Amino acid sequence: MIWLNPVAWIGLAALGIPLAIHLLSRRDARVQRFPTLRFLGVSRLTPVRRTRISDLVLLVVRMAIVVAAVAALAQPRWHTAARTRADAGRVARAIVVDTSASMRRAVGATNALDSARGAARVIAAQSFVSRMIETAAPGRAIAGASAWLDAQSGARELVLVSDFQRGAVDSSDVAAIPTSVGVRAVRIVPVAVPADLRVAGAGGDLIARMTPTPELTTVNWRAAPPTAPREDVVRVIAAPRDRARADAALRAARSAVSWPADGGPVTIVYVGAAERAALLRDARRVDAAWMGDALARIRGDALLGSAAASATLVAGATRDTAFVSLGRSADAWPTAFAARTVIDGRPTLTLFALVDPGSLASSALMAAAARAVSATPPAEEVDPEFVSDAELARWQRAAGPQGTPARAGTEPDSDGRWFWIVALALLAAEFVLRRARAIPGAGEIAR
Amino acid sequence: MTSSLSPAVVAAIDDLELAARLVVEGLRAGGHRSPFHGYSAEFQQHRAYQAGDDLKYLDWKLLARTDRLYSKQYRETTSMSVMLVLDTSASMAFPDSGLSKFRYASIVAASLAYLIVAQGDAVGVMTMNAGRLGYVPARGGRPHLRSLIAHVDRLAPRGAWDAPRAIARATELLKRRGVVVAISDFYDDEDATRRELRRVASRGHDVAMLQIVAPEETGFPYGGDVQFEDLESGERRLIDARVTGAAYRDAMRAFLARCEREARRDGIDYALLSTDSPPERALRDYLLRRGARSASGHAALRTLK
Repeated sequence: MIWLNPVAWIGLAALGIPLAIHLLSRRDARVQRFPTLRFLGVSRLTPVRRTRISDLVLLVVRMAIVVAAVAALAQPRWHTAARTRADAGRVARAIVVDTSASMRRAVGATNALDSARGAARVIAAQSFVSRMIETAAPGRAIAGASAWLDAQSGARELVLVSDFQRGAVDSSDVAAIPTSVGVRAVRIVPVAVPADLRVAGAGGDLIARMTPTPELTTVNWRAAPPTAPREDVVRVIAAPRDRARADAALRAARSAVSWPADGGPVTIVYVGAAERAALLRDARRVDAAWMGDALARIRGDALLGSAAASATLVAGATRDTAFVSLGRSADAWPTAFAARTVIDGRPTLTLFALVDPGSLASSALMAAAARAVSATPPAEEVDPEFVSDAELARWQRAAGPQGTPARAGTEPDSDGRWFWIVALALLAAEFVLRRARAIPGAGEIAR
Repeated sequence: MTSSLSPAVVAAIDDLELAARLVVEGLRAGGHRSPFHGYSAEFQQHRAYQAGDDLKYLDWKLLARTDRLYSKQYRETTSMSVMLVLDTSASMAFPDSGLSKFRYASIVAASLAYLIVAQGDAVGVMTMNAGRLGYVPARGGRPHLRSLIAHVDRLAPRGAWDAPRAIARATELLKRRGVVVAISDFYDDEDATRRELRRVASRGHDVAMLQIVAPEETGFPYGGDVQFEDLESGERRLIDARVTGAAYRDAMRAFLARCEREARRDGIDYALLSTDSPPERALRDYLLRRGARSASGHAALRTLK
C-alpha cells in the first residue's frame, strides 16, 4: 500500500487530544443515590487521580478514530495486480518532435519528419495523457515540456523524437529535465542520401555532393553552370528615402552568404514604408512549418545575434508583442518581429524590422533570412554529426517510479473511503461505549 | 411445596393488600401462623379457696350468692397487640428502580398484619413522615386490617425519621404488654435506637427488629468514579468506588453483625431481610427461626396465683 498524500500523517499529532482529555479532565462521575454515606465515610476516599488513565477501551477507540481519519486523509492506495497493470500505462508524456531541416531527409518511402510524427503518435497512444511539441529546436522546447509535465500527476516522461544531430539537443538541455521525469530518446535514422551543396564562384558554381554515413561523409565535387539567385527569395520594403541604404545592406548580405536559389518568400518591412501599416494590420502569427523552421534558424543566427546587440532602433519603432521577436538589442528590444502576411496572394514570412535599413543589424537580418529559407541545407546539416548511441543511453532514464505520489486531490482512485468507513464505525462504537458508561451501574458493575 | 413470589413479581403488584395476601397465603400453605404470641389472662374456672390464695382473685360475687369461698383461675391467651413501627425515611427509597426497601418493608408489614389479624389479634402501625408521627392504633378485624394496609400503601419514604421517638410512642400506644416490631434499615441513630429497643424489651414487651437491606448495599457493585448522594441529607461524595468497595463492604458487614449481636444480647428478636429474597421466603425463614426459639413458651397455660 502507498500513501498518495503522506503529509497528512502529521495529523497523528492529534492523538494527543484524546489522551490529554483522558488524563487531564475529570470525567463527570455519575451520580448514584445511596441510602447512607456512613460507610463510605469510613472507607478511604480516594480522589480521582489525574495521572491514571481510566477506561482504556474508550481511550483506545478514540485514538483509533483519529488514526483512521488521518489514514484516510493520507489517501492510501493498495497496489493490486489489476491496478499495477493499469498503472503501467498511467504515464504522462511530453513528446518533443524535431522538425529541423535534417528531419526532411528520407526514411524509406517517407521522410524522417513523418516517421518521427508517426512514432510520436504511437507513443502518445500508449500514454495516459500526452502533449506533442513540434519544434526545429528541440533543446529549447525541453523547458516548456518539463513545465507541462510538472503539472501532471503520476509517472512522467519526456520523449525526444529526433535524428539527434549535434545541436538539436545536447547534454545541458537534458540535464535541465527534472530528475523526477523520465527521459526517452527515439532516434529516427534517415537514409543517408547524398546532398548537394552549391557554392557560387566567379567562373561558375561548384557542387559538392555529400554522402554522409555514420562513420564518414564522402564529398564529390563537380562544376556546374552558374545559377542566378532568385531575387525574390528575400524582398525588402522600405520608404523611398531609405531605399538606397536598404539596397546597400542587401548587397552586403548577398556578399556574405550564398544567396538561395529557392525557398521563402521572406519580406523585410522597415519603419516608414508605406505598406507597413497595412501589412501590420493584416499580419497573423506564423502558422506554417517552413516559417517556423526559418524563424528558428534566424533566431539562432550567430551573425544576427551579435549585430543585434549593438543595434539601435529607429525613431517611431513600436514593438508588437503578439509576434515572434528576432534578435535582441542592448536595451532588450528586438531588431524585428516576425508574422505571416499575404503578399501578392502568397503567404509570406514577413519580418517587421525596427532597425535602420542601412545598419549592420539590417544586413545581418537579411543574410539570416536568406540562409534560413534556403532549400539547400547548411553545410553543417549536409555533413551532420550525430549524438552517439552511448550518449543517448546516458540521457535516458525510466519514467517516474510506479505509484509516484500524485498531487492531493488529483488522484481519483484513492482507497481512503475504506478508512473513513472504519472511522465512522469506530465513532459509533465510541458513542455506544460512552452511553454505556453513563448509565448508572452499567459497564461499571464489578462482580 | 409452595413457590415464592419473586421480588420482581411482588414489585409489580401495585395493590399492597393483594401482595400481602399472596405472601400470607404462601405462608399459610406452609402451615405458618402469626409469630407473635403475647400473654394475657382469661378466666377459666373457679376452685375452692385455699389458705394463702391472693384475695384479689377471690370471687366476691360468688361468695355473696353461695356464701362459699372460691378463687378464680385464669388461662393465659394468645390475644395481644402488635405495633408495627415502619421506617418511612428517604433511605428506604433505595434503589430507585425495582423493588425498593420501603416497598419491601410495606409488604412485610402488611403480611404480618394479615397474619396477626387472622389470628384474632390486634395490629397497628407507627410511622413518621416529615418529622410528624402518624399511627394507626392496634385493633383487630378485617375492616381495620384493610384500613391499615391502605394507610401503609399511601405512605412514601422521604426525609429522616426519629426511630427512638417512633418506637417509644408506639410502645405507649400498647395498653398492655404487647409486641413492637421495628421494620427499618436502622441507619439512623443506631445507638439511640438500640437503647430504646432495649428499654422497650425491658418493660416486658416482645420486641422484634426486622432489618431491611438491598443487595446493592451489601454487595456494593459499583466501579469507577461515582458521586454518591445521600438520600436523606442530599450530601454528595465523589469516590473511586473500585478502590473503596472492599472497605465499604467490610464496614457494612460489621454494621449488620453489630445490629444482630446487640439485638440478641438485649433479647430482641432480629432478622435481616434482603430485598432480593422473596418476601414470603424471608418471612417464612423468620417465622421458623422465631418459632423454634419460642416453642417452649407458645400458648402456655399458666395458672396465675
